[in-house]
Amino acid sequence: MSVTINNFTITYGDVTAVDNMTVVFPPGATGLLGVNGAGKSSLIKGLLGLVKISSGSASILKYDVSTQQKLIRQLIGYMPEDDCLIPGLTGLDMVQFAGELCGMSKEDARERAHEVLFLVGLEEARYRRVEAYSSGMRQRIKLAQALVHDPKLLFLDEPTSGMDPKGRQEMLDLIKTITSSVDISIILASHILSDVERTCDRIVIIHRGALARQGDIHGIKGKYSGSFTVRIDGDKEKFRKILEEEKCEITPSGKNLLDITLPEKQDTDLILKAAHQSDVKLRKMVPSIQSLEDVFVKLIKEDDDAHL
Amino acid sequence: MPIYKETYHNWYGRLKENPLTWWVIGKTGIKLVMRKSKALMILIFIASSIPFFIKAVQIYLVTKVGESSQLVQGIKGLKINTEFFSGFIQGQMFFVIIVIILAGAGLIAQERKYKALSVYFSKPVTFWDYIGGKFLIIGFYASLITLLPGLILFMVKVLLSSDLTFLKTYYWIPLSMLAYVILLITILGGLMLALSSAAKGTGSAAVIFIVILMFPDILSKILTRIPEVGIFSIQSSLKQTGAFFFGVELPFDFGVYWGALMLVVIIFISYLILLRKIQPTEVIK
Repeated sequence: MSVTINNFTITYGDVTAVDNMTVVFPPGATGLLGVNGAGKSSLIKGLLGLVKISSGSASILKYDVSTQQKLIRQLIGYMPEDDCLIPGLTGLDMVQFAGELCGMSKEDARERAHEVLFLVGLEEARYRRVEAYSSGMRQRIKLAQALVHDPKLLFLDEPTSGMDPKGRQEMLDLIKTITSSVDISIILASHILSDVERTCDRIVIIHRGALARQGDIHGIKGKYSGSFTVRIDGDKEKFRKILEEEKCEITPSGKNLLDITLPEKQDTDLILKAAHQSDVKLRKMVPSIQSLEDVFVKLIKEDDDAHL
Repeated sequence: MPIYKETYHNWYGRLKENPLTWWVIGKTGIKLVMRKSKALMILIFIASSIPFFIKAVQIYLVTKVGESSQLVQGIKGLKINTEFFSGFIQGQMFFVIIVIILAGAGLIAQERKYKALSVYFSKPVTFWDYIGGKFLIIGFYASLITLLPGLILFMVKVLLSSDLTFLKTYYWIPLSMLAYVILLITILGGLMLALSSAAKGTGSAAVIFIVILMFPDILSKILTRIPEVGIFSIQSSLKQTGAFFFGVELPFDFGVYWGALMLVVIIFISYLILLRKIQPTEVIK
């Protein structure tokens, strides 16, 4: 396992950012999803020893985070959410500096810095001071400094934040390339679900500092593949009653609109049959869950409802 | 232009098991300071080398021409002894303050402004590595205008002497110089770093540093009837403790232990500020 977390709690004064979380991140690319303030960044910072852990334990690449932090930091790369620049240094100097801090020799760090700066597309800007970089370039230099020592595990905290659409696509392509071509695991924290869907195989959704759901993206989406939005003309109540007898979950979502979740192992024939029996006309029938974003919104809503 | 032109390649080198991160931080910072304030630094080094050349000439005159010569006797009280070297090192205080401001005021303030601390602390860098690296930067520049010329002057005297009498009598002077310069760097460097970490910017850190150094000093010069006021002056306490290190006459009327206590308090307060401000990440509550 890349990361194993047991009963992990992080508090800032009275605020609990991560609440007794137990979760496992297997090797590969995992998206860490959550709304702003859900506790994604706090979880990563806690794992890296950047904020104090209140209780619980965790291991990264089988090393204990509370006792082997220095060793862990040599093996991982961290791309922070904030700007995180060392003013006065050129892009090349900053990446070389990051490499040397990780334990690379000066010569190796210099050579590798050139390589990763080419990789992230900063080859022309590498001799410019980092504080003069645009926000997109700052994201790239942050990725370069995280990659310079060839980490085994990469933590990316909102990697496309502040990037233009083209730069964002390129950044996601690069992340995808890294995960698919070499043996580097990635934990990508983001609230941009399409970014996660594009680059990761698995997701961990956290909400209010606690684990809401984890698993394979397709598996999680599949669980909601039996949800449909239908628009009908006719006796709405009769139609609804027939479906409820068949153990469907029905939620009205507007005038003549119903959200229908079918029971397991049932398909749309059930809806067509109910429409026929109740003599209603089906004007529209579309899957209600089409993207990861839809799943996410539904899960968060369920979680919020459960807290009420 | 695409973000990448080639695919990712693994690096097959070997990482050092316990990298000396304080050394990496220090040497990078030394270069960076010179890059940022090259002209000013060179100017300060030229100005601070004037006393060095004067002292070197004095050593030459006393050693080669002789203390009894009219030329040397014209310079009242000129003797190459402990006071001579103590006087040189202590006389460099003004330049040390300027150099520490130039090198140290922005060291942490700038990095906090650009939120660079999480870059450091996501690598195998501890609080002490980080602080050690910053002290190395200040220590390097402060030593260039104190310890280095002091040791050269001592060597000049030894080399110009016809026998080893001077070396046998004053062999401990280099150690005293080293101890005093370490004290100077620890106190002034620590205070500057603490202010740099706490202030909003480089300018405000520099101004507060000057005020803390100058205000009690001016006060103690006004209130000459109450010598104890000098304890609260960092410069006076440093000079008093320095005189003790060199074994020369104490320049102020308060006890050396009071001065040393004042310096310990400064170190402790600076440490507390650094401990509070050097956090890998800003926590917004």
